[in-house]
Amino acid sequence: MKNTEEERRNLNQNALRLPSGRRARASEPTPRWVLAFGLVAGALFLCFVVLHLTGHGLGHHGSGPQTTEHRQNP
Amino acid sequence: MIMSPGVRKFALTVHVTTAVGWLGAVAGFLVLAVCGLTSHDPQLVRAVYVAMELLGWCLIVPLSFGSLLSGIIQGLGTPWGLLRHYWVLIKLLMTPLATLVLLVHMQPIQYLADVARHTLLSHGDLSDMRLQIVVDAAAGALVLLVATVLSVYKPRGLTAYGRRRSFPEPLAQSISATAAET
Repeated sequence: MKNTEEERRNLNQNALRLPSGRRARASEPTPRWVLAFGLVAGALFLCFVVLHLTGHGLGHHGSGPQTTEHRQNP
Repeated sequence: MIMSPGVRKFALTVHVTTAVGWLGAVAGFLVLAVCGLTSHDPQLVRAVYVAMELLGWCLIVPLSFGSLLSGIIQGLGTPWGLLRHYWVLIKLLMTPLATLVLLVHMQPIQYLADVARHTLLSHGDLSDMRLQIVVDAAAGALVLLVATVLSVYKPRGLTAYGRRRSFPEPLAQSISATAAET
């Protein structure tokens, strides 16, 4: 069924309106910023996992004594 | 469930206050962590780690939960939704992760504060753990800064779920046909 010009205008004006006032299309690809964000986040996460698995993580979460000497307060 | 404008404003105020407050508290925490790592004054180091423990439990942890909860309420109670827009979805993934990492890393902070209460930490003592806290605080501040930027800029992009919700199938076909004709 072919839409009239007025129906088309209504579709464009109402259906595509986002809360921010911008418009969106029904079939838009994943935005580039999302892909870039995912790549950076994935790389950082991978670094984090590799560092921890290879034992190069910073410090330890345990609470073993690591002080060179414990000096009691006067 | 869409909130009324008055409730929505109040919920938004709570969310902005807790989220930005969390960022500010973590920035303060980072300053203390750097001071604790680099200072040669044992008394200052002791004060820093005890203060960090207080800051963590009394301010950062409550603000993190407040930010997460108020963000979920914002998503559910406004047309933005929780899963419809990439920027909301990314924030929804980042905030619980940051809260979880924060809770895990409260353990070394607690330990450092306990040690600082009972002994004088010299410059090299527990250096790995002190460095770890600096790195964690910096990473936390970065994550929260990214979340703030996403909230302000609201970059466009609907998720697959968001497209299905915004464009029911017949409407999407109609729009595609319209676009093809023009």
